[in-house]
Amino acid sequence: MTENTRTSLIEKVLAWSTFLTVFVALYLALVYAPTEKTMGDVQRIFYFHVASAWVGMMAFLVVFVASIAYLLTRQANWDIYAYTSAEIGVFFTTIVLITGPIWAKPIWNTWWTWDPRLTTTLILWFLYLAYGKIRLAIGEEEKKARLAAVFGILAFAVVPVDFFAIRWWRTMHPGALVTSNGIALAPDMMLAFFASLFAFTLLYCYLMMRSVRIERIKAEIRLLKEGMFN
Amino acid sequence: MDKLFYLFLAYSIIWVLIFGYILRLGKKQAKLQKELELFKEVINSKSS
Amino acid sequence: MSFIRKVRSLLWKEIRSELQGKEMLSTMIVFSLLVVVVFGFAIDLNKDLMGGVLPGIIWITMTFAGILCLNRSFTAEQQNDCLYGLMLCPLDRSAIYVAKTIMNLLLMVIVEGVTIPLFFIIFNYPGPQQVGLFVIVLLLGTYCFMAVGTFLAALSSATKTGEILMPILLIPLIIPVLLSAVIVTKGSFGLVVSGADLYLKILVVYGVVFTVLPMLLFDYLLEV
Repeated sequence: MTENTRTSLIEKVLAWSTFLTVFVALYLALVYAPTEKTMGDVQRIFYFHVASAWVGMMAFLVVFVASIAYLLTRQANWDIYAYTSAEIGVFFTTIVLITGPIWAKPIWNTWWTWDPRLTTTLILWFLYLAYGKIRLAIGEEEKKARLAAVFGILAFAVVPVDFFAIRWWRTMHPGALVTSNGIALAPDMMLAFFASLFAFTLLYCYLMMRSVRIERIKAEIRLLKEGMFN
Repeated sequence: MDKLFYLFLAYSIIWVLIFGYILRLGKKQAKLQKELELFKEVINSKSS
Repeated sequence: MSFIRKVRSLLWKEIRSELQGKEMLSTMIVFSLLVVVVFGFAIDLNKDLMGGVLPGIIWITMTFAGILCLNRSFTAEQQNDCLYGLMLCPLDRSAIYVAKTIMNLLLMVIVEGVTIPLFFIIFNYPGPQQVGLFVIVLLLGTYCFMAVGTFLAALSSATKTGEILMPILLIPLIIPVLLSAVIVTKGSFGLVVSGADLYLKILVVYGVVFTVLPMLLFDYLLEV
């Protein structure tokens, strides 16, 4: 019981600090940071867009590490981390893929370009959706964890190859519209950016904690069920 | 003015999605917690 | 027995079971011929535009035919629990992977040998300028495809929804292969002046990475 109360305390603290930092970051991004000269106010999408992209990438890195750890140790905990992180990563990547076109439309006058970052993000999104599908398609817990871990490793290994392949493809075609990091950030913008990055990292931790707890309850129920029928 | 609309659109989508996700987690957890309690009750009544 | 001899005997087993029915090979060939014909109906372009589209058509057709081939590759072993029999053999499990990959590669090469000349006939395109490069990229691209594909076929054959799951797993993973292969194929048509060598290198790197990783991970797939 003490274990439980302690985790719920940590969860509460984490929830409130996430809430506060998100508000501070929102203020910094929407009010405090100066308006960008050429792009105008739309550039303010940048702060949370890039923050989501970073968090998504980090989440997939966690999947990769946890998958390796699972195959080496065979502890169910690592599997839970890999799974929940993949789901949250897909969630943040979805945000990236929605906000990206909204930003691109008024600036480049097109919803989508085959920019390397965009395209790699899209492929990542598909890869980790597939990762989730593997888990749905297997009944036994141990096998589910094992096969998903194997795919989690493969999926992450393809990311750098993707990125370089698409980058060279684009630079060879004329009219690549823009490289999205061509913006030199003013210090005030920098502050807003790091605030939103920090806020979303906290949000990731909070979501991870909640989801891990849910998976633990599921595991407990499964255990009870097995106990009942045996 | 038009550009502000895009900004508004992007931010509202982000936060709607995030709150939706958190709400879904909460619902899921509540449901599972209930199920767990139920199981425990059944097992207790069986063993006693 | 050395690793190579084990692979050879496994491969021999594959070839003999295919020769018995020839069902896989004939199905794949008929299927890719159908795809060629469908593309012939759907796309009607003059010669200049055709050169830009044809590499894509070739690789889409090969992807479809390859998926067909992969779907059978491990599910066929599940009849009568043959896969367990294979796993009981005194050999490294990665030998199974290597033999299956080579077998799938052989099948695809035969299919390509039959259908790709037909592409040039049906679309009335004069054929690649650099035939050597064209053949190299076909082989290399198909190898990369099959190296990943065979592994994923083994993975998805262990699931409940294997056949529909496999393409969803496979296609995102082979996007760099398709991208590079299409570009190099265009290069062999004499369309892109530079960059083809870079993409050949990507194919090689991809081929190496996705030969080593599956070999390392294959043991984890076939645990009981």
